[in-house]
Amino acid sequence: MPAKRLLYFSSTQLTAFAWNAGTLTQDAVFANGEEALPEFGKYVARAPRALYYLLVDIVEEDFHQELIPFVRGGDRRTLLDRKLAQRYRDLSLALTVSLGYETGPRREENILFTSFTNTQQLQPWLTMLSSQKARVVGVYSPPLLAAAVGKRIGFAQKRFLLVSRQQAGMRQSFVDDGQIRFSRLGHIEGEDMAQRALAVAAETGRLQQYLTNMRMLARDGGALDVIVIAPDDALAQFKAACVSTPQINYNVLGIGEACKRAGLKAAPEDLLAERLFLHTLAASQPSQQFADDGHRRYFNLWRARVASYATGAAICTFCVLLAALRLLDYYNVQEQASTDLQQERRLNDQYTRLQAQFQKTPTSTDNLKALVKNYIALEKQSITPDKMFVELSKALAVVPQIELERIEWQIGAEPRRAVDGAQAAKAPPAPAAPAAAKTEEGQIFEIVQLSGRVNAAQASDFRNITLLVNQFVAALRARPGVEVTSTQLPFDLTAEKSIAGDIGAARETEVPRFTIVFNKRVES
Amino acid sequence: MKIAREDFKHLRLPLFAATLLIAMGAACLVVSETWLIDARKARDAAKNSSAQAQKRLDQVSEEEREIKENMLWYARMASRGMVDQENRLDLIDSIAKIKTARKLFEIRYNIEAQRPLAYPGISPAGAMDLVSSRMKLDMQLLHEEDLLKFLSDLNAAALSHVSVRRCTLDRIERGPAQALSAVPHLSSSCEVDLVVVKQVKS
Repeated sequence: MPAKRLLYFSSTQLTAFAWNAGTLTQDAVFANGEEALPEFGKYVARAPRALYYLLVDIVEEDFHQELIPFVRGGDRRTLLDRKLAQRYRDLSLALTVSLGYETGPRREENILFTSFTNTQQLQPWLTMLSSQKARVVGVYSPPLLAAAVGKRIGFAQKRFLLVSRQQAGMRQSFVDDGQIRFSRLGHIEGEDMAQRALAVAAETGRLQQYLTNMRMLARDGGALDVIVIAPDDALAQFKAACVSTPQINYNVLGIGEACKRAGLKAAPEDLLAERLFLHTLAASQPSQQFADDGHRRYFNLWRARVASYATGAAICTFCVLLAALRLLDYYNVQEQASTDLQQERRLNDQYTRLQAQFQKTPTSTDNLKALVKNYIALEKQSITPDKMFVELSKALAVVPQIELERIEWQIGAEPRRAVDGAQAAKAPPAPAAPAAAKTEEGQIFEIVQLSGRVNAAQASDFRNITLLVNQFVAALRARPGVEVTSTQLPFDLTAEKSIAGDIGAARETEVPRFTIVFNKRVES
Repeated sequence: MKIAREDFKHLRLPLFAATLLIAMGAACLVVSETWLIDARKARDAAKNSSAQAQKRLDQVSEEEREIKENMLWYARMASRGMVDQENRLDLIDSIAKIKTARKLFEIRYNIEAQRPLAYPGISPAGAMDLVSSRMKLDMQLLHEEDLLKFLSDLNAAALSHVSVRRCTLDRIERGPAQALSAVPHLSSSCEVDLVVVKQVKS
């Protein structure tokens, strides 16, 4: 953390302090004038990396409250800038504080406009700080710190009047709802502490009356809490002078006690209440301050640098942490994989030992299995025509007039439906449903095509020939599993074709021939 | 907080450093994520392999029973002469012996080159597979039973598995005088596959 330099500016001088962990050390004192600026520049140049806080305690200070319409965003900023420009010459040291919204349909916003009425005396010092590229954190005033001081010394009320005495004079700061509303710097008349204490009490009473008249204090709002930071050696006189009334409730606190409560460990003895404000400023660093971005240019740059490094480092750290978690997972997963591989090896070894006890095979077990499967399929398809010849013989016994001339037998997957290249008449309808009306996957059939002749009939005796062939077909069909798929007669009896014959003539040498195709499914 | 445009040049180094740090962090994250994904894949594969090994071990008795059963089938193939290399000289001798023993008429044969067996339901088995040689037989027969006995004897010769694929029988017309004489009354033409087991070159 960079060193902190606190610059206390009063109408007579600028006092530079170093602050470190609650200890305030006076570095230098510069007279309020042009002649002290070079020396101040050298002082600043000696600590270019320090953070500079300027606490301005002068009488030329303005507080003005005003209601503005309810606006947001850029419009609000523009309106506030315009109001500030109307009121103050130097906008680089002006501040607006939102005091809340009015209740009612218009919801106007109560704004406190505050600045220094004479900034000319501050500008040379700020210019010197800027020329030395000093990191000016902000320009503050005791009123802006009053609420923080009250909190640090343990005062819980939201509304109070803080009365303190600095080198610049007696400061009265009125805080309401945690925000500064009004402040004034004045002198205390009196030859001794008792008279000064009486003067403080009198001034407090007058200010209470003023605040009431200005309607900053409600008449029936109860007693106003007043914190009086008194010198330790005059604490008794102040307590005697500041007697609480129905309108004012005094809390008199010695400066030593107040500093102790605020956490100030050590400070130069000759300092008055400004040490309390300086310590509060360094320890609390309130967000409200007067300087614009121009005065804070190098502080903002420093913050941007720090933010860049911090953001990069934070994201990098976050990513590295996530990566570390993933690496942890990675090693766990690898451990699991290693365990699985070891188990697989153990199981494989066990399997190999058991497999060694198996019967020796001429080839791999998978090959043997496939070979046997093929052999079983081959056996199912390996049949001879002898059974089919038996079926034919039994059918021929039914119709002895039929004499076979040719038998074509084959094994196939597709049962033949009709005689190839011949005009086939459909076989007479079967009494039962055909066995292989629809072939199934992997079915094997014995397929037979018969060519024969009818001996007992005349070639033109169509009816008798048809009858005998049909009897033979019926006899075939009667055999289990046989399906006749087509029958070709020696003539065509359909009306679309012509037919000729001789009736009553003697038997001729011409013999009527027919063809029958049938199949039988091979039982698996 | 506003940063003037001319001041951004003073932020180059911090912004570069921040970008570098973020890039390093992201790189760490990406690399670790990639490693983790790969490790998970490897673990899943190892788990599957282990499960398969366990399953195979659980089924070892079933596998042993299956091997025994398959070896019975293999022994059956061996008993039919399928395991030995096809010996065509023995085959021809065998045909001649059957012809003599059965007093058959003329037998003509034609054995084609050996090739993989292509029947329905049969698929490539691997290093050891079934192959077949197609034999075409033309015979003169006194009766159709001669054909059936010939095929039965050929199968019984145990030189290979005999698979009859096609047979055609034709009546030979004879006059009434020769109806009862010892001359061929039928001619047959058959296609027979002689199937053996062979080491197939991959």
